[in-house]
Amino acid sequence: MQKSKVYPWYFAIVSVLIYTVLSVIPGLLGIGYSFTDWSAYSPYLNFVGFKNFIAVFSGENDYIKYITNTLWFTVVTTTAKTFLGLLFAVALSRNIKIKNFHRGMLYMPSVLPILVTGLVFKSILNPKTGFLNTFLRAIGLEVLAQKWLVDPNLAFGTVMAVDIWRGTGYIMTLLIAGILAIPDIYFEAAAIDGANAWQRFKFITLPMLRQTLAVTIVLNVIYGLKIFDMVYALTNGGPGHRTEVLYTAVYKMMSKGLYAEGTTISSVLFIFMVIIGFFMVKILTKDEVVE
Amino acid sequence: MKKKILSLLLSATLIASLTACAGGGDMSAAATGSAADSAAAPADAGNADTSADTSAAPAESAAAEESEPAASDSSAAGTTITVMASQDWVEDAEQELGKKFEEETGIHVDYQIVPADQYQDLLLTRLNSGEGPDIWGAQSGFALKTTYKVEENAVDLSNEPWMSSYSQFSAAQTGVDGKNYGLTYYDTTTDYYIVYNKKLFEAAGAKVPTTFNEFTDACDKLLASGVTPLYEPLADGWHLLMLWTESAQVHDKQEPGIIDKLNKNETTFAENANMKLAVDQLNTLATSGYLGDNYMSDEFADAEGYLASGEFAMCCLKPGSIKKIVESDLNTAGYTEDDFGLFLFPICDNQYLNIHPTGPSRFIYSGSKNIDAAKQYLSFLLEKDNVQYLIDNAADVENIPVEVGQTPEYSKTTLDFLNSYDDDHSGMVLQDVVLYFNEQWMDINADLAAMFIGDMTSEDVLKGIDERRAQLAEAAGDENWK
Repeated sequence: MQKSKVYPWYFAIVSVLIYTVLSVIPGLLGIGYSFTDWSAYSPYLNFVGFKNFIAVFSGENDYIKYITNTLWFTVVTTTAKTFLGLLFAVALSRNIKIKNFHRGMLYMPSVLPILVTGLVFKSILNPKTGFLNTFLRAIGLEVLAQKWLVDPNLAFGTVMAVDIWRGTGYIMTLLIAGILAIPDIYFEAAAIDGANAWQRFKFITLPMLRQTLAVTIVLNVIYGLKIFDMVYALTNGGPGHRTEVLYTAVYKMMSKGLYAEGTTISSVLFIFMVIIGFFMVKILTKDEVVE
Repeated sequence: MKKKILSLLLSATLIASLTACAGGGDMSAAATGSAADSAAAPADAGNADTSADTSAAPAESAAAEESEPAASDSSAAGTTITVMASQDWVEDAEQELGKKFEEETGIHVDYQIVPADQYQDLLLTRLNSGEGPDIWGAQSGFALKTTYKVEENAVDLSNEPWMSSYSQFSAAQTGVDGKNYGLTYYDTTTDYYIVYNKKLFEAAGAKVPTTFNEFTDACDKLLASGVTPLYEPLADGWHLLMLWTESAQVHDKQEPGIIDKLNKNETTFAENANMKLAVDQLNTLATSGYLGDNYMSDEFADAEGYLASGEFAMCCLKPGSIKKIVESDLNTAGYTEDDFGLFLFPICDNQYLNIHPTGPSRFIYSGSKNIDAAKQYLSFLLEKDNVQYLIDNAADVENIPVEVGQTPEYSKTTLDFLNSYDDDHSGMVLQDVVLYFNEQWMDINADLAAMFIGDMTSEDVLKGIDERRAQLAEAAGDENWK
């Protein structure tokens, strides 16, 4: 279906201009700095070519590990938030008792600032004095009490779990809105045809939710790749460097005054985002009707 | 199709603008001199005094002149000054003094206390983005010129009235090129040593060690008696490294000239066998269970409590902490100050007293709109009554490096311990004499933690130190690294 254009292109000039000046140009300048030796220690700026990028990918430092951690965090949290968000959304779009209360409770963690959530969980998860282990010990489940944030084998999983807890409610809310927008008539027709709950979910809910799911997945992926504050508040990259991600590394570089190295890591992240974003948009919009 | 390409391009640019850091540093103003220049100050300070002298200094303070009380500036009344510092750098007693200051001047003091593991990154980010607090705290020493760029980020305090009462030993560490930019408001008249529980040692049959082997023997005996030997709070991210650096004067004694060679880039940490031995010995502490089960999440603020409870037998603390241990609510065993003693951590068999005139210091941000009020606050802190108030009310502060006629509170334990080492058996700590070391303090601590969990070896840790030193030296344009 091809509709005639309603608005002329020049309506967008002002916003595009502001956006370009305030966002695009500084962004491109940032990438440009990746090819220099920009630092707080010298007033001079020299072109160094790909030296900073070679340092990132040389394997002599931990950047590859930070990249892997960031990608792993993105994959796990996106998958878990989408799955759990969908599960709760389907459950809470039915007529169950006090469903708004349930929705509110699940959404509430998203309202809290990430740093606050991180600091609260840091206290709750303290292996010796934290609420979780104290509770587990009190009910006789001491075997389950763990060093949640400092055990090298558990720390990253714990950080991801806290982030999933925080983010699922938000995704659920978006998906509930999507489910409620599906006309009841489809479900009624399917029910008359004898479709069971799983079939109604599979052949009506899921296809009709595709656009909403596309949005939530893209939001989760971008959030995951940019993750900083949750890791910063919970572990600050530790124990050792086990939970270090790209943006904690960028932050540490920038705070040390090594600006060029910091912008280089940012640029690497940008490349990842473009590649991942390109394929995601392509896959998720392949059946979209072009207006 | 064109529309799709356009939308993809727009998405890409959006992401680019969100991710790429343009930064906000004023590059034109970021001039710094050769980092090698800054080596002079601590080296001079090292020759100037010893901690034994420092401990004696308070007794001679009668001749010191009192600083003038802060003049009340009615124009500043109603303003608020911010003091940003790392956890444990601002005593409760100082915050009480802040309230008194507000009563007298009408200037409110807003203390922004940041967790230790996040402080340096946060401060530098604020300074580098031109949004520093009115008064910021930082460790004095080499890094002031290179990392904190005090000449750019701090106000020259050389002509403040309290300069005449400020320890020249400390002034050498808060100054750059003959100008003083800071005030060390921390007990640097003593350093960190191992505080140990004599009763627990006695019960376990352990003796005060003078070599590392004797130390591990003592730890084994303590473990056998059901006591965790050493409280080491890794969660704060700054304390662990002190076990090495506060005893690292032994390196210079064992290999005279090593510090000079490191600063001239003629040798590296990684190729030095003694450095490797020191880091390996640190690893032994963790792998042998001497730090207990919870050291990764233990915090420095709890150190005195754990020693008071008798759960731990030792911790690397300032001598003034003994009073705090005894006064702790967790001291149910009724320990007295006499039940605690001091010894040097015998890493690489060190038996040289550590001298460490650097410490948490205050600097007034050059971009502050409240410079006069901030100066007024520093002057207020150094009034005799206020210095005495801090000493009397901050349990772990025995003195601070100013002489305004205050009466220090050195315990007999402290004085006996310090006086047992002469000049030939004392030396400056590693971070005060080695260039580009203090700047990476938190990174080294993180690497040591990584070594404890098996992610790095001692060689990796030392190599990491060398790489970051080279990175910092190169960025600073140091000739010795070209």
